[in-house]
Amino acid sequence: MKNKPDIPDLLSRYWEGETTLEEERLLKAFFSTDPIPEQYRQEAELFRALRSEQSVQMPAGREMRIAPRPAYRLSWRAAAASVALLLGAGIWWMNRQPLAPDTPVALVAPENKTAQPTATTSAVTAPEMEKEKTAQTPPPSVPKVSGRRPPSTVHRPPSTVNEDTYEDPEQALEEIKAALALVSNKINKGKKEIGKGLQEVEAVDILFKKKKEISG
Amino acid sequence: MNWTIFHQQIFPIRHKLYRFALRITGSAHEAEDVVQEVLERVWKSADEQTASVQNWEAWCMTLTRNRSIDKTRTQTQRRALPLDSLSAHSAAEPTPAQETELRDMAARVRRLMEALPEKQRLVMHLRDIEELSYEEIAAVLDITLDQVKVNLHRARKTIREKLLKTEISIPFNP
Repeated sequence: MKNKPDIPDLLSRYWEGETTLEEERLLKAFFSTDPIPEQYRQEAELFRALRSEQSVQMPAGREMRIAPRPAYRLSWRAAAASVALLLGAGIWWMNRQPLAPDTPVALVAPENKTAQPTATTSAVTAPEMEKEKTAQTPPPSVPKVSGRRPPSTVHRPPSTVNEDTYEDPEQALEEIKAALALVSNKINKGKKEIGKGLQEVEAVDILFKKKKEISG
Repeated sequence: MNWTIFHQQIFPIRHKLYRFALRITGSAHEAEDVVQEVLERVWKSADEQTASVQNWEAWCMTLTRNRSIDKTRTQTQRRALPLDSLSAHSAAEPTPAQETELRDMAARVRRLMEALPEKQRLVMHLRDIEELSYEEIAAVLDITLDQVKVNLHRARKTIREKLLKTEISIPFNP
């Protein structure tokens, strides 16, 4: 147990503005207990009042409202990201669509890996190539592979200019599914994170709405 | 503004900001508005703005002071706080007799403090009610350490003299 505080000394230093915060807390604590010696009436009045003021709080239910902007910010970001992802997936899908199951298949089929760049280019510029193809024969890629394939397989009808990396449509479909699953997985992950943040924001938001209702 | 900082360091001091705003504006409604505006501003502040902030409490108190002063400038009505507003918001729940006594004392001390010049009043509030260090008070009120000490000394001296002069009978236990 600490020694009894030297109240007269503390008080005289308090009035002079020479007490520390700790000493001032001691004074408040001392004067908040009963009974108070008669000679300290005024001091007790002051310190009790100060202590009482320390417990003044913002009225319950009227706590401040913060515009729930951060939640909107997150949502817009998520929405923008989702749209971008979906657009990307859509474009990718459209570009792969022309590979009909009955397409006489890709002259590059046996060498998927080495032929990929060529295939991509041709897919993007399909209409252009169609024109070119009528004007000039054989197409640029023909000599490269002609050595490995009989000349008959090199022939392609004008309607099937798209080359691709997949020989088997089923395989292509599987790849698309896998890619879309990946995109979907990423979106779900993002949604989870947003959900966590939203829960926290909502907790405070409830308080703010109350305040708004009351203050009208 | 980082949510964690806001949640852990700013939101819990709302009552302190409210008391300070109440001390300056003298109006509970104005004080509530001030706190709301300050917290909104803090929440929306960009990270670059808050990068140099080391003492969030002092920073918020400064914003509260500035906003409160702006409010009082735009309104002519000055501190007309109902006498019972203090104990009405008090967290403690004393007995009816104690409540009356406390309310009388608190109201009287409050009136004495309100009669002080503004700087003295705010320095005394920040020190004796909010328990800020001299350095923090100097930062919040944008004055020097010496000014803090001088104003605190004068404020306490005046309060003491007035308490002695206008002594009222407070019931004390034997």
